[in-house]
Amino acid sequence: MSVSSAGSPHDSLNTIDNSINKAVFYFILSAITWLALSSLLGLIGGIKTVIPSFLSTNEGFTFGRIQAMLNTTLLMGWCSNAIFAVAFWIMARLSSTPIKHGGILLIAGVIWNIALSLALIGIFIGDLTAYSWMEFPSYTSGIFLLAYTLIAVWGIVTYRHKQNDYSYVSQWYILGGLLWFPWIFVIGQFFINWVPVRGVLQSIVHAWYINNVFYLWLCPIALGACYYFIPKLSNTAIRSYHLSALAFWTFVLFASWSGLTYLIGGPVPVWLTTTSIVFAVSLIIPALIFYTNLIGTALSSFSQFKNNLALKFIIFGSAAFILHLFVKMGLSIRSVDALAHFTMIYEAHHWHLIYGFFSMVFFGAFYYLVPTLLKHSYKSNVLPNFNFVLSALGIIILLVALYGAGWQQGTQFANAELSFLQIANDLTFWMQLKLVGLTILFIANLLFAFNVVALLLSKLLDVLPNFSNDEINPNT
Amino acid sequence: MTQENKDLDESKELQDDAIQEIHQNLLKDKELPKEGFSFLPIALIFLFAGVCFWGGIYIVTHGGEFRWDGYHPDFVASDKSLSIPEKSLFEIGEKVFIAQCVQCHQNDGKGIAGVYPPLVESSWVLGHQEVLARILINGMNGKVVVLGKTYNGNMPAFGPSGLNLKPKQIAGVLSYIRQEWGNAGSDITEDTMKNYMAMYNARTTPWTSEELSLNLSPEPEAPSKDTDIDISDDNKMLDTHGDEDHTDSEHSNMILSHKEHS
Repeated sequence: MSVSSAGSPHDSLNTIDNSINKAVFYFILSAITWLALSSLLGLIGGIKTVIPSFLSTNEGFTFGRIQAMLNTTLLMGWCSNAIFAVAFWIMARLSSTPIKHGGILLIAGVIWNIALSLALIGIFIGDLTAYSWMEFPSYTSGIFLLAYTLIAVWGIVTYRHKQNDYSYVSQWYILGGLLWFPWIFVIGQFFINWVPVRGVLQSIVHAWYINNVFYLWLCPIALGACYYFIPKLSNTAIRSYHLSALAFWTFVLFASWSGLTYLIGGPVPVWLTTTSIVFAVSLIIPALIFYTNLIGTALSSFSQFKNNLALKFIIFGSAAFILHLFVKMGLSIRSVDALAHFTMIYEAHHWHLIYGFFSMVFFGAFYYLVPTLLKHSYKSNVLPNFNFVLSALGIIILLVALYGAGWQQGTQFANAELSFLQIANDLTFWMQLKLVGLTILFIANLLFAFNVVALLLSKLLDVLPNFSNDEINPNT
Repeated sequence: MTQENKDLDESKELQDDAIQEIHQNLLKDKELPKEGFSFLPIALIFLFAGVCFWGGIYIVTHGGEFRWDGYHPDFVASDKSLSIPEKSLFEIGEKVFIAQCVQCHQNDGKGIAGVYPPLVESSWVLGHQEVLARILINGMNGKVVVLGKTYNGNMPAFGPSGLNLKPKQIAGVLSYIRQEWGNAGSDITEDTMKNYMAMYNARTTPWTSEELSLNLSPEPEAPSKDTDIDISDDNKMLDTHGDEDHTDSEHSNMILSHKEHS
């Protein structure tokens, strides 16, 4: 069963992988479960925008709660579990240090998922909050925080005990993301749920929270994964690597300040939005560096890119991210925002980040990680490749539908002669297109879950007959 | 098994320690001009500078001057006067009274029997405005009869020869003592007070009670705001607090207004 010659580097790699693989598999399975649930919820929501009477008998299935459950499953279910699975493994690999106390990681993961289940039940029965992307009831936030603390500390401890003198850019992003998230989470919960601030201050905190959860939690970890997998899989060094430090600091600084562009035109002191606009436009600096670092590296080794499934996912995600940043810059301009505000363009923008960038990168990471940890690869790459085609097609259709719908909405809102109902009716085509996109994504996500689980099962079937084989025992 | 593991052949990939080492070396080599390396950093530096320049200008011109009350991108702080409610003479006077007068004349305005004369129902207070103004501007000493009792005290001056209060403050405190504690006198307006101060600021000796009732000009029709004599310039030269006064009012008049959008 050995992968290649049993040299010492591979032994240490095995030690690292074994130190964490129970926890990683737990997080992987949780992540794909929540992903499947979220795509089901997305599909229900998509159907309801076309056929409003669908599943309308129970108040738990009203569009608002479905949307709240979708956001919560995506953010706290799929994204967070995927982060826990991939970030710790990359961190351990790059630090050449096994993760100690993987068991605690596992227990913390169970607590996290219990909190998430409670949150979903809470939303279903109507305990949701009024703030998008933090709809989970406030009584679950403490449990999330407890679980998170138990999880994140191992990533930081691993970095602290790294065996190398130097640190690689992926480690900065992962360490940063692990440290920033609790701060963002606590501030958001504190000022909105626990000790609510008054008036427009709530909107300001909320805009700051959404922005930072996206750009200081999801993005850093996904970028860390890109910076790890792209040179590794394409077997080349990152192009213009020395700029990556500049990209790191400018991205963190600018992105964290750019959140209040959501409030352009709102009743907040104008210096807040103006400052955010300036920082959002400044994101062009890190965006260009990301382009050189990530896409440039991949293009310089195009042959690997074509044949490597994981790399295809990750390059697609990176390209989507750079496009996302340029859309963000555009949306921050006041005259563009005047048209885009209150339209589906913002919904599209969120999908763009969460699915186009984050999910695609993590699909790629999983397609590398699962076979590596199992030491067992796909007999045929047909289904995984089909997964890539479906995912890419689905997200492109969804984004075209939502950006198109938003643009049409915006131009029609500006026309005083059209009634709101008329505008809503005119969106029918785009909503049908959105449903097509969501359906394709639903199938793609189920296929992804199937592929991962099938590989696990085939490995188990392989192993069961000779269960005493030492090499598959993680404790060796 | 080897066939199955063809994708797992990690020799085709960069190993984890190799990732670190290669990139660490790249960091060391960054000064060396290499193909494809040189253009981007220079362009980036220019772009960075451009973004900073634009950002600075944009924040200054559209940042609402970092004020809590600037809500429009084209906000400018304007000094056009708006109707910010001003404090009444009575309120100003109350403050001055508490700060300057209560030690002697007491909170209830009744003074201390035999030492400090009362203000309540006193004919000095409720009588001719000019008398009262003279006492405040220049002070008073010697014997004075108030409500049938004789006092022999020393009232300090509050004009330029004494504590140097502003006309508005003296007008305020006089209006206050004429209307508090059941007194029913009229306001003494700021303009009236400026008028009196123009007449008596130059005097340095305190008044005596006999002098006070001599050479009185006709009492102004209170509380009329019209004065025939324009003494403002004159007054400004005499009033050392003039500048401060000016800034205060400018401050209170700083009102947010949105520039007309063209």
